[in-house]
Amino acid sequence: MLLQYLNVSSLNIADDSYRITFAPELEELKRSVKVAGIIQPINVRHTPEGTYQIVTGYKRVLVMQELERQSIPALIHEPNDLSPTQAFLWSLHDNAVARSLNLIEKSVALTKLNQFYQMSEDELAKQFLPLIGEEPSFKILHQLMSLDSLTEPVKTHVVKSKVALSSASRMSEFTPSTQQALLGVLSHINPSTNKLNELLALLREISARDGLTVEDILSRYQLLQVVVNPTATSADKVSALRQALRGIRLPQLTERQKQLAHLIQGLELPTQAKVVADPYFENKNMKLECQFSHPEELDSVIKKIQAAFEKQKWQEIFEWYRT
Amino acid sequence: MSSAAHDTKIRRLHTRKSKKASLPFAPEKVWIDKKVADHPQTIRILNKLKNCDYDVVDNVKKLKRPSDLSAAKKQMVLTYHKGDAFKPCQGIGNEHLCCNYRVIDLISGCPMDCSYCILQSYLYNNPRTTVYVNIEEILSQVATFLSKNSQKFFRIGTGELGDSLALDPIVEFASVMIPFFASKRNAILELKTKSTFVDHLLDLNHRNRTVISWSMNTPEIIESDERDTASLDERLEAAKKVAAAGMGVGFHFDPIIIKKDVGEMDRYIKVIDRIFDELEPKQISWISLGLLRYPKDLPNLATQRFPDTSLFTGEMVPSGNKMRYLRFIREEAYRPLWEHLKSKLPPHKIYLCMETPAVWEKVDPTVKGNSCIEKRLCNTESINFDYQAKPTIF
Repeated sequence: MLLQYLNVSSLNIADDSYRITFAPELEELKRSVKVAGIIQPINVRHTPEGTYQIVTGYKRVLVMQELERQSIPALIHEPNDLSPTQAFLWSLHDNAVARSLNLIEKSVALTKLNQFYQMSEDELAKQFLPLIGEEPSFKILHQLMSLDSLTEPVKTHVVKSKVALSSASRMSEFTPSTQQALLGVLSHINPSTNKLNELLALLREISARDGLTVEDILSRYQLLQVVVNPTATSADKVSALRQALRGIRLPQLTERQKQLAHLIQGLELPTQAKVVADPYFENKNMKLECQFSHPEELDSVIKKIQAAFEKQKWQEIFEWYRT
Repeated sequence: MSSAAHDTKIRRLHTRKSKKASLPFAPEKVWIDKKVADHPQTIRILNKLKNCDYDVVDNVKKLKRPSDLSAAKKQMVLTYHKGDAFKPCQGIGNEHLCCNYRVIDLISGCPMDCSYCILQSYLYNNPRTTVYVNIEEILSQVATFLSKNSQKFFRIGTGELGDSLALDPIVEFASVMIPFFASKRNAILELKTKSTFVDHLLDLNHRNRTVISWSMNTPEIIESDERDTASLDERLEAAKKVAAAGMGVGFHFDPIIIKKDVGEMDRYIKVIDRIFDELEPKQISWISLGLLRYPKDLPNLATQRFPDTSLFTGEMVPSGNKMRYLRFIREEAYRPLWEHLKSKLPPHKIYLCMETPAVWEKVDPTVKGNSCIEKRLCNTESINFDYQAKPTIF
């Protein structure tokens, strides 16, 4: 091992053998380097071909490049002193101990350990998931490793928008072109994890049922237009998109719900009263909810409900509901 | 391949269906619980698996979980079942009308690989095919129960957590169970399968206390989504052998799949016709109908393993902790099947599995409660039984 100032241009930045970092935030480090320079040397591996592979300190190298600095302090390790596996483990520990890895970085770490360093899935689950702050579960392992199939723009979206693992993993099941199309929608909204998972499931199910690509679905039902409205809030856009997709995915249920809403409207109930029915029509029981704050108001509500009852409107609902 | 199939990545863990169900399951690895290493059933099973790699372990519960279900299906665990291996079917006590069926857990897991199989979810953390070798102890629980409840008649099956016969060329449990039930006056055994492994059972003395049943589906669904199972023709051929041996034969149309609309029931009607082309109504003990339902996490698990499957595309809605088709779709789907079956078989031999009173009311208003289905099905079989004294249920 040798401590030496290396020319930044002599480092092979394109060689990502030991790199885990994805979409790094450099501003804070840049400010620090401007004031104090590089305090901690980076670690590099001198290859038999004469190049220098970055083992730890990738972000420091990026900052030095951006600041157009010429040299950087580095601990140089000869190939015989540092095996590729050891080098990767240094990189992983250096990153995982110092900060929280984002989902893509976790995915990169696990995928490389599996593909290049022959770590079994059992070792990954039991030893490495806890190291990167995850439960030692095969489900989590498989979800994280699936993120390797995300396109670069989607990976960036996952990190920047803090997409949950379950959603990111579902997105990885789509082809690159579909992921790109999805990104066109997702960049306009910020759904909760549950909502995003539901939207992805709806798209996938419609696609499987109708033999359409997701791109076809987005275009045929003009779903992009639903989310580009500049005056609507993100929550409204998510709600409108969800409603549109559910209408396509569950046409009979949606139609029934509309019919029921129409029949309930026909009761002309007072604003203080509401009919609640099972939204899936499984349970035939219905509930009538009333709100009142004094006896006269209750009396008035009852009279209005009675009036609706006498017009046979209630009977109509029961008969329809049971068909 | 449809454009939708192109839409999801093909991460095939399986080759296309090959009809391997006529070949016995050959595990790649057997794990033996130290406590049963010397058990006669263990030794007998190992003698059947002479070329198989096996290990004796102190605690099978501490075995590393295989990384995926497909790998787990190639492994077998021999252990013992402690606790109650004989219990009511999970349909009992829910909001459904139920036939008061009871189940015996002798095997958990299945070498077959159906896209819709709920074991993908239920056995996620313990996915190896597990065989409980203490069958004698388990049957003794059953004997005690039957003797304590001697005035009631029970239908008892083994196919809840696995196929009743898929492993039988290796474990030969059916050859123990059929004579056991032959000696019981107040119970009938049902062995549910998608295999054809019946030849070794045909000469057993069953005394009309065994029904062998086949899960039925359309040839298209069998081909696309029931991997490593027997074809429709093979199932019917095996059923004919069983009927010729004088044993009862049952059929379960479960799960019935609606991908787009109830017009798809025409395909099931053709399967019903196939059954009655091959068998006489009197040879059939019962036929059940059950539309697809599954735990909420199943589609995600299943579509990761089988990206091409389109089973989960019908109008499913939450119902308790499961997903199922909308009630009015279920009613509409059952009606033509029920009517068609009724034209071929007495209604007391037909039932809906795990259906609500509301749906029963539309399909057969005479069925008002659990005991009604139970009595009808038990009576179906009692007609053939030679009782000294009839149980009070009749």
